[in-house]
Amino acid sequence: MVRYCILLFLFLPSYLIGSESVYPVFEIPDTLLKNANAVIRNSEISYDIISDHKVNMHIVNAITILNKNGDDYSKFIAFYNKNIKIGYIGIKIYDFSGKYIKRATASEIYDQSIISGFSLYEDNRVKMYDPNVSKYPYTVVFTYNYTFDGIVYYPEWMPQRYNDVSVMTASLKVTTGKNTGIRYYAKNFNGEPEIDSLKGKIQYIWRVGSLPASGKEPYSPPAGEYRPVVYLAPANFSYEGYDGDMNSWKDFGLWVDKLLKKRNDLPEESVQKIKDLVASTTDTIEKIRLIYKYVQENTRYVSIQLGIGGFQPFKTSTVDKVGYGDCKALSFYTKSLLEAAGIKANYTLVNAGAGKPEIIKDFPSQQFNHVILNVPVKDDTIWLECTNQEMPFGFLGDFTDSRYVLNISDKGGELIRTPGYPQKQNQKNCFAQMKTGSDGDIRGKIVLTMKGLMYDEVFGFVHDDAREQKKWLHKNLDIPEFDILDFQITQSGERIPQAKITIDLKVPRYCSVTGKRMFLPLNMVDKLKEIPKDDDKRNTDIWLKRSFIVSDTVIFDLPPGYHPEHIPEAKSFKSTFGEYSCKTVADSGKVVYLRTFKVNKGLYPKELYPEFKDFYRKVVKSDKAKLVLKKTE
Amino acid sequence: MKFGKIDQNNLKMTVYEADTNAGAVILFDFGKTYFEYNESLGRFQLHFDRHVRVKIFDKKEYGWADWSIPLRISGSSVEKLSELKGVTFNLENGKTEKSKLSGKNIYDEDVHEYLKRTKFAMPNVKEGSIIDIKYSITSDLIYYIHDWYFQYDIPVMWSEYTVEIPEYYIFKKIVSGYVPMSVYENETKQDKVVLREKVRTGGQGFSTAQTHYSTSEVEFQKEYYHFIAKDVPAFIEEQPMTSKENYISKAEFELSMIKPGYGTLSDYSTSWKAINKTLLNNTYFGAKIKSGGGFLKDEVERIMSEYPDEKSRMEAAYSFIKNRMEWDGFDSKYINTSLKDAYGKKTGNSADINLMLVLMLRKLGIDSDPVILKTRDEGFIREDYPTLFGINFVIASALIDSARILMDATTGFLPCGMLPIRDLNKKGRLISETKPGWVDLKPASGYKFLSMNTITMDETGTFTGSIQRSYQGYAAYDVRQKLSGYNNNDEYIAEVEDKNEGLKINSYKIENVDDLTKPVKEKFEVTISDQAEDAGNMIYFNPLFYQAITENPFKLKKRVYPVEYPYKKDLTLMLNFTVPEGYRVEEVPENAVVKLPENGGIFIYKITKMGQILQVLTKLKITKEMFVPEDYESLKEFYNIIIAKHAEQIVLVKE
Repeated sequence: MVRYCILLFLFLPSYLIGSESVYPVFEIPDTLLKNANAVIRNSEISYDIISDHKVNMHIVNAITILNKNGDDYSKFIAFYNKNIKIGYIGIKIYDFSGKYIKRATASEIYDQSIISGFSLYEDNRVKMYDPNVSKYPYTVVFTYNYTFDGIVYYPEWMPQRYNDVSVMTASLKVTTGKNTGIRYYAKNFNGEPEIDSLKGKIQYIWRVGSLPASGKEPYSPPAGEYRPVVYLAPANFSYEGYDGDMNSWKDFGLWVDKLLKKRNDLPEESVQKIKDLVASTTDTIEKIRLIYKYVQENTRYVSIQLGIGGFQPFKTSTVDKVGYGDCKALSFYTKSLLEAAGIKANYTLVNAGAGKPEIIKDFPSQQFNHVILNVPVKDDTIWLECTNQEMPFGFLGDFTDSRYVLNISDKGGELIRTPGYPQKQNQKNCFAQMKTGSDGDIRGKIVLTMKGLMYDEVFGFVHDDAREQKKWLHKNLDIPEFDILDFQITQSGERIPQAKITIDLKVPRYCSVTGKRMFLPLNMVDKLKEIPKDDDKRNTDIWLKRSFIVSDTVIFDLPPGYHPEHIPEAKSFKSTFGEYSCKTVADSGKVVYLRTFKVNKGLYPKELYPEFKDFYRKVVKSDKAKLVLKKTE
Repeated sequence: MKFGKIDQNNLKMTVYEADTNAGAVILFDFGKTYFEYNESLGRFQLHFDRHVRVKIFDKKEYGWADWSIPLRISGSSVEKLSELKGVTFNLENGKTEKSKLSGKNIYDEDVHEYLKRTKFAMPNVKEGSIIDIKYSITSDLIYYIHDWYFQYDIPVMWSEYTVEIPEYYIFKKIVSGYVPMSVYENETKQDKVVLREKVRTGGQGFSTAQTHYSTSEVEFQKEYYHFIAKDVPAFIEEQPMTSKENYISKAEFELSMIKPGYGTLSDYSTSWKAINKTLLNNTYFGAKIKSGGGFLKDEVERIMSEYPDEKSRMEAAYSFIKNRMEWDGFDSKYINTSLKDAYGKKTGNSADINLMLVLMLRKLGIDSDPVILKTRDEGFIREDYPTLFGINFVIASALIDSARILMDATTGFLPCGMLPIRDLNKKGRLISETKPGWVDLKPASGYKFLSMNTITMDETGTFTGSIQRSYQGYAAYDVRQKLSGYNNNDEYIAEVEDKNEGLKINSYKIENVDDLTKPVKEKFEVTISDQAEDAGNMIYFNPLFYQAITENPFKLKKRVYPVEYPYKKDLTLMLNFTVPEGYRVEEVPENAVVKLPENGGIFIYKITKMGQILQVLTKLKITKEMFVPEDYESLKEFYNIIIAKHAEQIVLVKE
């Protein structure tokens, strides 16, 4: 019987290669071709859970590449390491009619180490293959296996991850023993999984089909907020000898806490050093500030992830000695220094990144990629990002603000929230005073103040050297051509930091001159330029990531011999999305331009898209306004 | 300089006076490359010792504390790292404190079959730290001497490099870049090596065989080179530039010959003549195009019968190979396994594809030879330094009516005779039995774009009309490339509308996308709104709409290195405006003509008024591919004038 199967298996592929057409393109319905650069013809992922530390995974993925922009989806890329091993890999390529073109031989599949950009060392490797076909459309079929030894988290199943890929059919299958157990959470998924019981096992199947590509839509929320996604997590698990339970946040937190046990072995002399460092003050916040500064001055971020080291920090004595570590190591080290000074701080897991979807509160699992600290003081909490040497004390920025995080203590895990930054804290202010010459040149001073999350935008450049800062200004100040005569950048504030940029500049030909007239653009550096694109059938809701206020006061001294012939009228309008107002006042050889633009963050229903577009269109139009000056005859 | 011993004054230093922007400076960098006879192996090995000391002023240069040393692998021949030592120095309360790099913080990464990396992060690095690093590499790859860089993106106070090469190996020295050497010495020195040989004697009669050792001393000469560069400024890249490798200061040593018995080498490059010969006989190059090619027989017969003359046959062969073969993205001057194999698989590297084309052309009776070259990002080929190292690409050529036509069948959207920008790198070398020599790798055509617009304005300030665009040369290549990213015209139109505020495309036609020999032609029927501004009884607008140049590509005050474009440019815009009745043309921009020095380029802005019709012509021509740094200021100002003219308005007044 077994032999028979093998023979059949050997026989089958050549038969397929011979004549059968595989995934011919004509089978793709027209509705799935629109907006698409590639179409997933069929994707099957199945997990076979053998025990709480052994899992097999089988993947079949057939994808048709429609044009050159879809080429990236034709590449085979599979990561592995000593805990996640790859078995069989089969890759076959077919032309538009489904005729076999070629397959990847073992020697053509490239193997190399892969270390993420921010990391010094990881034990991760990758196998890759690029089919290199440029006659479109064509179809690639991948078949491969993984074996997991210890699994703390499963990659989330999101059959449609990209907005330029349609999906014909996709399925996720999980087979597990009755006792091993798997937990799942489906989002944006209609109905329940199909559940089968067979021979002491349970099988769950999720299927989706006919998902058209949505195309690029600006101001879309992250894909996980509106696309079907299934999260899987173990109930009980074991990773390199550390057993855990993930049925509640409390239990998962206990596992993480277990990994921290016995990791704090700070040498006595370092403990004493910290005690001396904070001896000068009795104020707790001041003590935390001193320690935070000490960490910033004496450590740097270097990531090393090896096995359990992906979840467990370095010992504090190691960080103390070498002066570097990753987010876990540096946070845990800072926590230990605070403890040396008698201050309790909590190790906190967070899903970091600007514009990340909220974690799923009801589904305790490993949904985090970063570690920070929270330090409770009296009626307040101080949040510390320990991997950056320049971060203002207590500032989180949009990398980790306003989201649920997992607070770890010996009592287990608990979800708490990081603070957000409301609109009035996120301000950009431009104050400019410019002299206009009769040749259209202007010259003067601009003072830009960036606060809160607006500060975040200039954070990197505030600490750079003068040459780089100058380059940055030339690239980011929205004026076509200018000379910087002098500039200065200062920073102040901690939890709500602020950067002040003062620039002395000359803008040759700022005004265009035609005959007797000169056209003076009033909005100097804050023009809104892009109107959200036309979209008759918007698929996604409108997502405005952050609230902010931009205000401008620009004073132009007019050139002698010119007078305003036309002053653009004042404008003021409001919408759900924000507010706008501008006005221009002329007074004895001077013109003052005042503008305020407010945006309210939020997730707005897609039906409001025309209104949103209209609001931005009005702002764009108004921002283009020019003052018309005429030579006095 | 002794490892681990530093001058405390360097620790106290807070800024590098010669460049106060520098976040770090290399205090010194000593390198030595030499050969040593390994007795147990019975052959020479290549050694490289380095001692480098870096002072860090600012956190942003902490990257200099994280090191990664690449080590090559070629079968059983490897580069091996040894004696890696590192110390970080800090000033703590007036005292020098040392932190040593410990062995357990050093990681070895197996990158892939041909490469390993040793990686480490230096301990206790703070602002003000000095990092001292020392290591040696012992290598079996005697043909591969690492390039020595005198210049980095941070300044270097002292860079010293010594190379010693025994007479058995002949290396070519190439020093390039803008940094003057403070010391340069080259002399011949004496050296010797003691060889011990196993000798077997006896074995006759009753005596048994005996083994004993004989010692002999071999004297030889070695070539000695010594370089010192002092106070080297940081290398700052400028755009557009062919390749940073043409301008950064470095010393390269490239093997051209090995004396018989001291190793094997497939690349003999003592002269271009020798290189020609080597390549013609190479199994992965010339040998494959001398004869054979039976697999091409049917196609060759088809082309012979379908096309009457050499030129059309060449074009047919070029299209055939280009369409059949997929380029796997690898640059190579040598084919992978065999041309027949590549033909069957329909994929190959640059040599597989272009040598196959040479073979096919030859079978068609056309005088065809390959041309080897360095691609643009590798830096220029050096005519005065014959070597095969660094030459990473091969293209095909044909001689038709005594004109040399160059072809690269790896890249789509280019007609026969036009090379992709990647290949346009000054010179290539023609490899030929009968006429080896240099070939100019110049663009066969420029970048030519023409836009003709007929536009009528109505009383409300809305414009309607047609836009006809024609793309030639590299402009056609660009637009074909761009269009291939859309599934259909509708997607393309939607994108154009999105990018140009107020533009509505009512109809669209395109010609010659597939016929590479003809210019691409587009015709749009459009409506443009929101582009004219009302100002009391006036309306003003920019007649160029979306087609104005608004940004100066040159932002730096000064330029150190030349400005290099791949090709010449010619952009022309013509507009015919009809102004509605009831409006009078109050003001139009003045005409202007600006020229670049030495006929480097010209800009024209011309406007003519005929009743209710305005004609606008604007032309930008760049007629040189290279501008020296002295021309930079005029080039920058040239663009400033273009931007100013392109921003000017037409003013209409309501009567």
